[in-house]
Amino acid sequence: MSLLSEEDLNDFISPALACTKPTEIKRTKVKSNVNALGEYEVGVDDGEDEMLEKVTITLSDCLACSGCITSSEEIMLQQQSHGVFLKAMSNREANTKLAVSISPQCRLSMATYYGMEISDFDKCFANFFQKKFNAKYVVGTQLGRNVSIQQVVKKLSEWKQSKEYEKDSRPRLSAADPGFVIYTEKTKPDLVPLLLNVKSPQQITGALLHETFDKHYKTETKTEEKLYVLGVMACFDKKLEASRPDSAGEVDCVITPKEFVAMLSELNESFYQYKVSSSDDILKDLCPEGWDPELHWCINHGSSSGGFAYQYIVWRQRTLPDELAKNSKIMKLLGKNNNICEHRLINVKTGETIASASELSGFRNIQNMVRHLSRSGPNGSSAFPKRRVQSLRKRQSSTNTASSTATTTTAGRLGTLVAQPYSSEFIEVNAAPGGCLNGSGLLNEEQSTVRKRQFTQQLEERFHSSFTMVDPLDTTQWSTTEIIEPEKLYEYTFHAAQPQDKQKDIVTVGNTW
Amino acid sequence: MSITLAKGIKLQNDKTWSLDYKRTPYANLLAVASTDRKIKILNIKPNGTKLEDVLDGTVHRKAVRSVAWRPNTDINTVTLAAGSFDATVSIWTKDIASHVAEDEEEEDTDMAGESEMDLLAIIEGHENEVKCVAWSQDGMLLATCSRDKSVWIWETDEMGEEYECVSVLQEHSQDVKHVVWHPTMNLLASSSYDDTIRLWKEYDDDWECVAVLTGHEGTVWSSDFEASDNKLDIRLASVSDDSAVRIWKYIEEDDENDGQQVWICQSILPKVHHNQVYSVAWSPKSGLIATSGSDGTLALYKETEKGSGTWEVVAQKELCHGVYEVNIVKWIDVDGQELLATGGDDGSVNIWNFKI
Repeated sequence: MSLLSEEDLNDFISPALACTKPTEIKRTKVKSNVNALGEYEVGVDDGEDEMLEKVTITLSDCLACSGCITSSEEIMLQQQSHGVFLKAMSNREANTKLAVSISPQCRLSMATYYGMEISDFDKCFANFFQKKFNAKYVVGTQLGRNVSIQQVVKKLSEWKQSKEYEKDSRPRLSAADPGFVIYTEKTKPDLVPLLLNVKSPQQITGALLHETFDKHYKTETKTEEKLYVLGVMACFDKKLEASRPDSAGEVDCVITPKEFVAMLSELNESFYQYKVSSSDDILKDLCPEGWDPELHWCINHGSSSGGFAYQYIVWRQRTLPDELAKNSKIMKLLGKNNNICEHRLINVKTGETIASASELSGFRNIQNMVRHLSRSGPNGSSAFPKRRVQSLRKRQSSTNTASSTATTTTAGRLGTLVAQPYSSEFIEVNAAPGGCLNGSGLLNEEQSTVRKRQFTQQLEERFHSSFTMVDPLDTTQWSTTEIIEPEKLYEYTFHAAQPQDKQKDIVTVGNTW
Repeated sequence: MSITLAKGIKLQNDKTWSLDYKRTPYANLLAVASTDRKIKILNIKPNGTKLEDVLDGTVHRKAVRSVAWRPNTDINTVTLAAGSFDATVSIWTKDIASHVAEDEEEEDTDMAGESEMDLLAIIEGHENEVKCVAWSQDGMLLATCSRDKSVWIWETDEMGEEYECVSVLQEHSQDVKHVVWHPTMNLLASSSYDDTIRLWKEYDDDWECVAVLTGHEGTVWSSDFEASDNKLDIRLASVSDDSAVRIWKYIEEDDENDGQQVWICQSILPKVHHNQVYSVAWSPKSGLIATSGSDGTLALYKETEKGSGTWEVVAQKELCHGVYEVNIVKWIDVDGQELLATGGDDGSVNIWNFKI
């Protein structure tokens, strides 16, 4: 992955933007100073002149503060594109084989774009990589996702029985969205302990590909056999995830559907010329040894971003004692906007909540969530006395201009239960509003935000019926148990940033009016 | 056609950034935001101006850049929002029922240590300097904008104590200087260093940009809506680094692009300012437009015929704060008489009479 230099960022971001990356600036007191960027800086105290060290910013730092995100995404599009992959392919040695993984959201997006059925698309996609790049494996991500869901469920139940839970019962947060993880590590370090440490399907798929490959190709005599793993994923944050130090040896390069289309155009290739007949066995040919040939192309019930929250509740219901299970029901409650919902397992006789897991996406909701979780502290007790927000807006109405009092808006919701994500045991968090189907790397050619949203909504409606379903909790279904080590955990190494010393904020001329 | 100084109040040595005015049964409250971090509340009376309150200067670590009184509150309560360069927004409140029968005597204006407004909440979220705060006409939504290029919309309860973010709007490409709500509708206008003004409206369960007004050739510092009860008659005045004052007019919904609106630039007012124009205020009472800027000039404009789009300059005053820049101008209705208030880099608040 190429690293960004500060030079590149200067074009897009005012150099005065204080990065959240903790820089080691050894300075005593600053009087007046011209810093490395050539700016005049005014310090708080009198003191000696001292040069500040020039800050080098890498990709993994830049997603931290959302003020930078848009700019660095644009940069990534230019610098971090399919070019990296093509170069790696042309420079690779003979004993480096290629594996390609593709997420279901990308398959739906690209199949729609190319006007194909998903099954035809999958084969065409696989054929392209085999013919053009001599790919050894082409896989969907469901196997990785099954493992991920299993480990989420396992860790959540372990947590609930642990001493940790008694001390801090705030909901655990999914770590499958790398944008949210980096945001938390850098700007909300006090919430890092709430992240449920289980790797995402992308990373686990990469790890499994390597494990399979090593098992079959890396022998005592052939130690130089290498596998290059390309991931086709819905957004740019997935690139950052692949380049985390704790992700080493899993995925080498991530491109988005947008870049795939650009790559084909650059190579002067037509995707359609790689179409094969529906009876073609190409997917079996490119299936890793020992993997169930169909499973990894399936999906599971739950959100279109992985279904972690829903599957946890399904598992909770399945593991109830018979008597209670018979009288239990999973309800889906909607939240105050379309990007919040809760899966609640209730006892229908008593109305009592047995278990709860929520889905929450979009920056505005993440903002409210992190503020709420930080404030409520480990003991669940509030730092401030809590008052319920009384005027919840009507979700349906778009033209409510009358002055709304508490009674008129809540009247419309009488009898409707509202999602309470902060009381859940687990929150599946996605940075993109609506989750992966709204990923910025997908192919959405609509212009206005309203039309874009409608298009995404259509994809959402088609998602579950476009694939075959599997049950990720039922390992007996998979004929791949020999390649999955049941005890092996796929975990990140989170790095919570040290709290910044806020008094040392740099004030630069030109930004104080 | 003249503007005369009614009262000049030197409040502090640091800049006066922002003013906001609210009439209550017992006082005409002018809130003052300044670099010295202490928000001041003045009571503007025809027979004199009193320093009513100085708020706790330790709440914000940096300059207070913007203040705004909450409309539509309970008659016994006043609530104030303040945005600061420290990236936070503070909310203050006071129960004024006990002040209904107040002693009219002028008190010593030194209110050291004694602040009567209570700090109700501190809102965090923006990444850097908050440039402006503005309440919707029903007092239930608070818009904030920042150098971080975003506009946030917060929803609150009747007490104004709890704030939940309802939308984070990141479509401006630069520092957002100012936000203002339409006086009768939930329509928001934001002005930016990117030379544009964006209009925002609720659509489905989120807020959308329904129009982008381009034309200014420099940072747009401020805008203000014309008072209007007619949903189809919407006009906005804006001022910019390019020293121009523009009037924009809403035409219609754009049927081809769901939710989008069609706006035109109806007029560019006759030129008065020769430098950056920082503030514009469109009087709900008289329909006059007032502008102030870095050249120290305060100008008043009148439309020859309402809605015509033809304007003339009816009064102007140079050096309103000496050689200092005039950051803010507001229309204030003091017991039935319309006056103007300005704040400048000299740390003063000036109250003006005008005759046209």
